[in-house]
Amino acid sequence: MSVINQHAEHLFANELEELKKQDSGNLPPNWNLSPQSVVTYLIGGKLANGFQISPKYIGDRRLIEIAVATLTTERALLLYGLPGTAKSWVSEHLSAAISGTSTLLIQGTAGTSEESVRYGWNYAKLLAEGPSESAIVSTPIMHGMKNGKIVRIEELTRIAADVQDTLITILSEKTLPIPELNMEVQAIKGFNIIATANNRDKGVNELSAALKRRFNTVILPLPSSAAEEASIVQQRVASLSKNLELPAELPALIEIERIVKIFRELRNGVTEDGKTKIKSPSSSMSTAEAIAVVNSGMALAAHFGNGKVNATDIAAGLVGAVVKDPVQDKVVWKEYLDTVVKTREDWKDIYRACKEISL
Amino acid sequence: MVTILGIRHHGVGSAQQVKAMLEQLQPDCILIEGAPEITPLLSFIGNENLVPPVAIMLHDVAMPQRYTFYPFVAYSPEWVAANYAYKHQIPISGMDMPAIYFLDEEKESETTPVEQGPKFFEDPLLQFAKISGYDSIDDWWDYYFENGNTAQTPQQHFDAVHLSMDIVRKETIEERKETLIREAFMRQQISAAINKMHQNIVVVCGAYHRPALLEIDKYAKVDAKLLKQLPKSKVKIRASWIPWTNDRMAKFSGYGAGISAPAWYHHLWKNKKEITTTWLVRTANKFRKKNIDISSAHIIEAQRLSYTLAALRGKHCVGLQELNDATLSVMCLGDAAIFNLIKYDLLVENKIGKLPDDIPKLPIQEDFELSIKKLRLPIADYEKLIELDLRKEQDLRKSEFLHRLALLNNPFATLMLSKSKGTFKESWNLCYSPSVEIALIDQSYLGNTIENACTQFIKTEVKEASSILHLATILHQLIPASLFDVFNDVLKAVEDQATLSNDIIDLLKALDPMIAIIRYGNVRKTDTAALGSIVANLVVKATIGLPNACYGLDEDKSMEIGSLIHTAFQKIKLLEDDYLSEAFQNACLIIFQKANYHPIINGSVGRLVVDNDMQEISKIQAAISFHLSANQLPEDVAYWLQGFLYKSGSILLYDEKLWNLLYDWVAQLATADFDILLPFLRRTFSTFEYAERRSIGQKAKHGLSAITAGEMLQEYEFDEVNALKIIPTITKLMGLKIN
Repeated sequence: MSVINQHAEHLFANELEELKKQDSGNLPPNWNLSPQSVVTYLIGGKLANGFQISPKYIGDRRLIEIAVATLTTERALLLYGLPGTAKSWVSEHLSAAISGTSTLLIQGTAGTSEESVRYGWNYAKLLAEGPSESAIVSTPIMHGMKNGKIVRIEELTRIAADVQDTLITILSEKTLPIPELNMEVQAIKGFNIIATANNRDKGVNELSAALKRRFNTVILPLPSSAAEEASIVQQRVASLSKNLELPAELPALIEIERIVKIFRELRNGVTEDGKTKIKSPSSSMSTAEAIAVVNSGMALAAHFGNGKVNATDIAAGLVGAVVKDPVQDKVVWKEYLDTVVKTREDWKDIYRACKEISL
Repeated sequence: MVTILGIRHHGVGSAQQVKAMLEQLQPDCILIEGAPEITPLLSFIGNENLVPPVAIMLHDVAMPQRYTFYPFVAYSPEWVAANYAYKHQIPISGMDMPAIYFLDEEKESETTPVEQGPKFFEDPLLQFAKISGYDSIDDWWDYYFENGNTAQTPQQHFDAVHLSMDIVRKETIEERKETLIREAFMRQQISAAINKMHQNIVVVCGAYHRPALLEIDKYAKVDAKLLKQLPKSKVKIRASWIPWTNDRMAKFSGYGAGISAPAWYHHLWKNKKEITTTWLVRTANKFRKKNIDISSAHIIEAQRLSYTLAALRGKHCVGLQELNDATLSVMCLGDAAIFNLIKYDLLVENKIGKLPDDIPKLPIQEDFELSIKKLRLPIADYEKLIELDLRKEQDLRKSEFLHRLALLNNPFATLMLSKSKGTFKESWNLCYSPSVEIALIDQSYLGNTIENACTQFIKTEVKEASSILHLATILHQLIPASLFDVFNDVLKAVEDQATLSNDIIDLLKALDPMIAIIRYGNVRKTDTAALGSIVANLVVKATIGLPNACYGLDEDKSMEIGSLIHTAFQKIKLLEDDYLSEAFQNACLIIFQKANYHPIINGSVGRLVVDNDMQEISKIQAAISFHLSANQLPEDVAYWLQGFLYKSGSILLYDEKLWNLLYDWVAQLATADFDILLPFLRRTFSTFEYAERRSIGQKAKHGLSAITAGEMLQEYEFDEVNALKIIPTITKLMGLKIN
């Protein structure tokens, strides 16, 4: 009953329900909502009857519009960006809103095989009965094609190049040939693919030009302002703590702004006032990691502290997020502590707390 | 009948509708929003050699730096109206506030409004845009009124524009005073046109003004009273056509009524059908030119995406925003950096207008154009690099012309560092912009040709110049511009200035450009005899004044004069005049021998003495050991070393005596003194090359050096006979004569 992470379509079931009721736009075939409503679901807003839709993606509306428009043209969508810029988050919510399910998911890894992209065989049956349709083990893609649903592929660039290329026929012809049975599965309307990939792993398995051409790409940027980023962190922490049932008090916005500031400064290599140059650590310092830091701080406060998040609770997670390389990052972090954090009058507590954690 | 057509300046939709409406109304008189001073020039529109973008410039004859522009592009409604007037031979004139009022700066401050309405009402149009879901007025207006291929009839279009403007004007609490005055002028001009018995008058003006121009009679008395209050203006205005550029049309150039994407509007104006397809093909071609492969499939997909985006956003036609989004997502893989490669070329595009030859211009402008044509210089609104070979007659002429422009600080040409060596090559970066014309007009009072203007410009400069260096720099500029008429004037000024001036530093600095002229003047076939004698005078003067000028200087000044002495010495050597070199050497020796200068100067001059063997070795060594002796203040020694070793420490490696002196000196320093001196010494040594520092360090490891320079040579078994054999070849190589 109480799973750790509920799927988007369950978590926001009432919002989706309400949007569907209010929807007046044209429904593309096999879509649960009209494109306009999908955009509203992601960006948030007030419906005609006053129902409030919470924002899922905080950022440029334009990007979400491009993403949704892409899916209606039956071209596949590639969400690109640094780790932790809400790519998977957006993809999950898009498929939940469009197809009502976000579970048709292929996790891209170096070991993802062709069988998990196209179809596999139930060998016992294959040996017993010979090749037949019932001996085929379906994949999320096959399922999505048959039922006209959105399929998600996570970390596309981690999949080996030859396996990636099996997607070309599926994306351009919208068909999945099964030569063993001399048949094919033709996708029905509503089927599409949302893939995610990150910039940092660029070199791993760069997409072939042929495959790239089948995708419309949307790059999800890092939050443009500190205020935007702080509100993302706060909102995500609030919803996660509800999930995890953490008894600790939500940290004040001031505390979150401080963490976001540290993250942004280290990521950008310069203090927010633009006056001091700082070294950037090897870690990506994404928003998602900022969220994790706040969360772990809350967990510490709840179970080992007084229930209120203070600098000491934050420090442990913070140091862990920054120092990924024990040699280089340590130098970067120490420099940052002593040249930036120390000089800030009201940051004394966090300075002391971080100093206490010897590396 | 008076018909008022509200438009946006440079709006494609407005222009199309104005065109259609004029055909329908067949007016006998057209009034447009613009100062009446532009009226005579409007008759040129229609001339096929007047190619937009062009602009009418109005400027104050007495003060050309006070000016204003009226830019026109092919899709400016005013341009369309003027074309109609030309075709049907009907009068067209400007009806705005005369430029004599607003180009008068002192009075302008009186007309600018101080009181403004509450913030909410400041931009009622923005409220409109926001209600319709747009972030900016431009996007909103573009979508509703300017998208080019609307199904609306002209009447419907203008009804819609006028209705929204009526509402906006009603909501506005208080108008800026300037707007009120302008509108009063407009009303007066309209009634003047009616009084001239025109039956069918069309007024083309900014949509915002229309509601105020409807009931002319009602305002007649108020207007007369209001305009009577305006102070009298005696300003004389001159109007001229100038070429304009797309770049200047664009909003970011600072032009108030600028548009965000001139190339896009031009595309809309030119193409009536298939706008998105042709635009995307154009985009693809821009990418291909940058070696980014874009297939036709990309174009198809981008087009599909742009249509879907428009539908998603609830728009009935695809706008630039959708096309840009689709291009970004399909052709650039979402990467804005790739899009930025072509963005300027795609949205703004370099384009420059053309003027017919028979349009009246200022004499200096004509001279400029004539020279450009005669010299075949390229004129474009992007930076173009040209290489000149000064050995060729034509290139020399070009160079002269460009140097003259540079002298006048005209932005047309910038001298670049030439890639090739030698003094006969020059690279220039040429770029035309309207500011070129402004600069010309601004300086038109100096003369009717560029050459005359230069001469006049130099004469005033010379009068104001207070330093020899300044004059010498001017002199240096004259040669490449081959302005020899004023050459002697400037020389005279140098002489006068040198007589009066006691500033030796200025003198030393001026030597550099002056000697350069003597050295390189002959590349330009310049007579330098007169210059030579003046330079000789300057050197003598500097030599005499130098020892005194070095007294009582602080550290920084000492450092500066030290290196000045070094360069001056090198330059004087180039003159190949023994008398001058010797005089300067003597001045150096005087400084070297005296102890009461700042030790930096002493050290610096000492180095010059040592390097050039100005004195017997024994005397030099005595002086050096004096400066390094233990009883000197440690800081003074450090300063002395700073001057002596400035930027080159190799002397420490080959002069063993000096090395030993220095080594002893360091060894006898008290620990406390050493701590104080370390930063000074470090500063000096840090200017050396890495290899030099390493060698010095290695040498220091061995401690005191027991051998002198002479002995060292013997140790390496120096073979004098063999060595002499090289000499003839070396002298030949260097072109020296040695007996």
